[in-house]
Parts: sequence; C-alpha cells; structure tokens
Amino acid sequence: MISFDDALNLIEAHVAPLGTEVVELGEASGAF
Amino acid sequence: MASPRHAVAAMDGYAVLDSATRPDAPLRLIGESCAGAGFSGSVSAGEAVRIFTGAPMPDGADRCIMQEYATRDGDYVKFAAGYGPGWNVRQAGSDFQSGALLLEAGRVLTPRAMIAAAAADVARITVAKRPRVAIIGTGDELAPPGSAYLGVDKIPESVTFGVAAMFENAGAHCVGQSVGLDDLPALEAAARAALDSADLVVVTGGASVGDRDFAKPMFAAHGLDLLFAKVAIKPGKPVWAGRAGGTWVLGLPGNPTSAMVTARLFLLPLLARLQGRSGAHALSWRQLPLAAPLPATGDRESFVRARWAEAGLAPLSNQDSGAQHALVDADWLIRCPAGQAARAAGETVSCIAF
Repeated sequence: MISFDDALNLIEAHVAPLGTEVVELGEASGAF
Repeated sequence: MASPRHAVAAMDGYAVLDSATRPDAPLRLIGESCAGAGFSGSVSAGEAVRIFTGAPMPDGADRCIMQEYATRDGDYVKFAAGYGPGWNVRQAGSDFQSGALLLEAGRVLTPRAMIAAAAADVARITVAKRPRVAIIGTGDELAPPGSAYLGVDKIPESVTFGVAAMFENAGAHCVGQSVGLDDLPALEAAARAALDSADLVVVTGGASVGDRDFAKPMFAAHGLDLLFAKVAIKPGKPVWAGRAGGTWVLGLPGNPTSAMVTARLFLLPLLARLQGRSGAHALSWRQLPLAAPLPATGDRESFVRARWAEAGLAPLSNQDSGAQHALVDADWLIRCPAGQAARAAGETVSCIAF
C-alpha cells in the first residue's frame, strides 16, 4: 500500500500526454 | 482579425464630423450605414450619414450623435444641444488587435472563451486531444436504473453515471458505459472491447481480492501492468491503476462514495496528464475554515465530505463509504492527514472542491 502523494507522483511520472489535434471551432467547447 | 474590424457606431444615430457640427445647425443627409452594409462615401463638413449600432463609421465622420437628439426635416437633420460628451464610436481594434494573444495555451474553451475564438475569425483550432474514456461497472447485484425493482437482490447501478459525468466535465469523451456481471470470461471480453476503443478504461467494483472480484483479473488477460494497487486513504483504499496494451486502466471501489472520492483524487489528475497538464492542475487545494468540529483522523489519510455552511466547511454527518444521498451535499473534500487530532470550528483545513 502506498501513500496518496506517492500514487499521484506515479501518475505524474508515467502518464504521457495524448498530444494535440485540430478541430472545428464548433467542436472545441470545453477543450484547451 | 481585429475587433471591431472597423470603427463602428455604438448607438443608432447620425455619423458626423464633430468639429463641423453645432447644435441646431442643419446637416445634409448623404446616405446610410448599416451593420453589414456600410456607407462607401465620406462625410464632410455640413453632412451627416444615418447610422445604426454596429455599422461602420463612414470616412470623415468621427462622432455618432444619438438619434434621440435628432430632428429630421427631409434630407436634413439637426441636433439638440447636449448631445455630448459621448462620441458613441467603438474604434477599430479597441477590443483586440489583429495578432493579439486572446487565449493562451492551456486555457479552457469556456462558453466565454468560445466567443473570443470565434470573434478572431478562426474556423479551426488546435486543442489538447480529449481522452476517450470507457467505464465498466461490475457486480451481479447491479441493474440499470429503472429496472432494479425487477430483481429481489438487485440494486440500481449508480456509480458509472456519477463517474462518467465527472470525466465528461473534465473534457473527456465517454466512449462506452456498461455493466458486467461477475463472470470472468464475459468481463474479459468487455475489457478487450473497452481497451480497443478508449485511451483510459475505468472499472468500478471488484477491486478487492475476493473470489468474485474480477476488476484486475479481467484485464490480466490483456497484459495488465499495475502502476499501483491500494492507497493508504479513507475512503477508497482499494483504488488501483495500471496499463493494458498501452491503454490506461483505473480501478475504483464499488461503494458509491468511495468511487466518487477516488475518481476526484485520481481520475481527474490522470485525465489532466493525458491532456498535457500536470496532475496537480486538477487538485487545487485551498485553505478554508471549519464551521463545525472535525473528528480526529485514524491511521489512514482521510478525505471527509463536507458542505459549505455560513461560516465555513461543515463535515457531513453521514461519512459512510456507501452513501449515495449524502453525495448530493458533499461539495467539498477535507484532506485530513493520518493521525491528525480533532479540529475545532474556526480552524483552517486543506480542502478541494468535490
């Protein structure tokens, strides 16, 4: 069993971004 | 494109050359400027153009006199004294200039931000890819809402609805929401389908190690590689995360409150990472006062559900990990370190919006 902070650190270290995409403006609401 | 693109009238009225305009002195009307159909000529001393809100100001005109001050007489118009001091003109680029930075990278396209993006005459926009998330609820006791009454031992499946709503609010697309019975071959097939369609699969329930806890085994056949399993928190100790065939898998406890708390604490940071942000971006801890006493914490770091009362945070009386009704009022999670002594009303605690 690990601590909450250690679990978050593992997520931070191992999860890579999916990247970006170009979308129609009408489909962009809520994205960033 | 700048906004406004041209100098435009801010009122319905008359476009004039201010330095050549006096109260009660008639000006000759030489045309009309409407939004979408501006006046192509220019205004000189002694002339005016009828103009409407949002219409381009004609060349030569620098003031729009409100129509309430105007008296028309055929092709002439004159203005009552007191029409100033407003010029009633929105100058070109007074909102933003062409090339200005309107939305910095990482800024969420809120309804208000969508206005700015569209106003810049942008048809397509580069955004962080939205994670595709599939969610699978597990448990023989679960039935779709509206049908649980048909089986004596059935209960409405509620968790996937709450968790899906949470991840969709965080910018993810729900590509599958299903419930599976505690049957390993069937769950393995459901896992395969979810892994093939999603960037992240959330599975709820079956997170312990009982004979009928299949959340991890259903992904084992697909090469599950655990990142962590069991976290020293309350509620939500059984939470786990891993990867199967390149797709992230997050296992949440089946108890509704536990599932929602762990989704808030782990799913949202995971989604933030997938979208190119730090996980910390999803966890904005605040320091707020207690409106009521907070009991001592046990040997695990705890996240106490609370509502906002007049003077601060009030822990909810029902802290059961299986609670569902209490979630309605649980707008905050209070972070309580393991072994923390009881805290009194008025003391400040670390918390996060839930």
